[in-house]
Amino acid sequence: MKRAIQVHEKDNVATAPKQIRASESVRILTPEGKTLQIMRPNEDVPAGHKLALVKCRKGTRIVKYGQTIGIAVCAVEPGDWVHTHNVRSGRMSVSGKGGK
Amino acid sequence: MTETFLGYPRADGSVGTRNHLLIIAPIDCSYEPARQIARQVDGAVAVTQHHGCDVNEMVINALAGAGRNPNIAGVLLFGLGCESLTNDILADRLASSGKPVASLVIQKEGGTIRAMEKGIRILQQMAQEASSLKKEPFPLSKLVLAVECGGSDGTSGLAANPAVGGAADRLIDAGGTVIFSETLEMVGTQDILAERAVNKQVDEDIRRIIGQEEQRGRNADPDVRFISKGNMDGGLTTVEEKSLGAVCKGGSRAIQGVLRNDWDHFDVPAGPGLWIQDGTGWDVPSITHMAAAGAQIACFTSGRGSTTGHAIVPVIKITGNSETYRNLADNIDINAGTVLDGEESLNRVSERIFEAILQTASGTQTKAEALGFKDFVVFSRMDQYLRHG
Repeated sequence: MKRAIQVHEKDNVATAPKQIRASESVRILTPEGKTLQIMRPNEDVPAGHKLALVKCRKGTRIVKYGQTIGIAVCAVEPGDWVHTHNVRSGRMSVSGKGGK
Repeated sequence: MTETFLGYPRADGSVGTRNHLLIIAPIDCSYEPARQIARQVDGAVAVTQHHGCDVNEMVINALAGAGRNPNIAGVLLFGLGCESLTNDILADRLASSGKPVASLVIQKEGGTIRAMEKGIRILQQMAQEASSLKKEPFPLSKLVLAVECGGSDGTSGLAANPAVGGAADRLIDAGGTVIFSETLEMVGTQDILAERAVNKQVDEDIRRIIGQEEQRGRNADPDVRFISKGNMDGGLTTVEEKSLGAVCKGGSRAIQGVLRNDWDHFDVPAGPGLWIQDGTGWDVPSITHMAAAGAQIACFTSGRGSTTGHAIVPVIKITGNSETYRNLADNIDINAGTVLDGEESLNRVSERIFEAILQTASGTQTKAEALGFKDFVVFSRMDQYLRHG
């Protein structure tokens, strides 16, 4: 089964080392290899990318490494691919013009 | 058991992991003949800077620091003659290293052919003298490791960076020194890093340099320099995510201080332990400026893959992406992707990286070295140029 790592217990996303197809189940693991849950992504998740573990309303902090990595710009469902289309930086936009 | 590495003792008490000869063209006008001299002499490498006659501490210290680096047995300064950054300025900065330093100026010698002939003869003699030096075992307190990341992807913060961080911790616990840089890739990690500062001053310094870098980012023209297209394709969504993964490579030990690296100041580590250099996130210049601060070896993590070697320091490349390792097996030394494949623990990979550091420090070539890659780029901040200009 494909794997995705939830780095910290507070995280609401997990990172997939290899691409996961929407049709495949994925095992969510701690960095030490302990299984936390098994879920099915709602869409393909490319290698190195993240999927949501829980429902995140618009404006929710996205947490990885136990730290905020960005803000959801729309509602995100569990199993959704999480990336630049639904999350923005809390500090600066990719354009450098500064997120808030 | 006390761990040691085999190195070359230098006059100033430092220890080289390599025994190179360095030709410094203080301006790129004299770089091409300098490069041709290097081709003639065994163990010689030529470097320069590309900032013209805009002399500032950042540029001067990058070149002087390269010459002072313990991996360099002897230096030939090879100038054109009318440049602002003269051979004499660099010779002054190199004097206390006690290593042989020669100086030639093309406009004084009557052209490149005469200057090159003299240069080759000087270096030929330096090469013979350098070759007579015997390697000796030294404690790890003599080792300064630079850690760098580039072409990061979603695996970098999960495997390669924490694995290198574990090796960095081990080196520091054995009395060694570690430098990490790339201030832009610390944006969002101010609190985490400042918490590890040895005192209040260092806490403030860490917050100040990261804050300045964040401000530079906000002021810049719209483009994607803060997190590259490659980073985003690899799964990194924001600069915070990139930073949180990136700072893992520095390990977890106390931060001794911030090494300034700007138009007015250039600091080197004042003792062992972990140091932050206030430097660029661009890979090759970042390694160049950490080498200028005294690092004799580097670990470079890359998720997407990198080919970087360096003129002064051996660069051990590590990826957390098994596919990248297979794809770029010619260029990447260590696969930390085994952690994500469930084949190896993070500690075990850190152990392998630590072993590779000792082996490489003792003379084993990295893949980039074996391929003859000698990258070297000097960085200078443009916003400081505007302020001073």
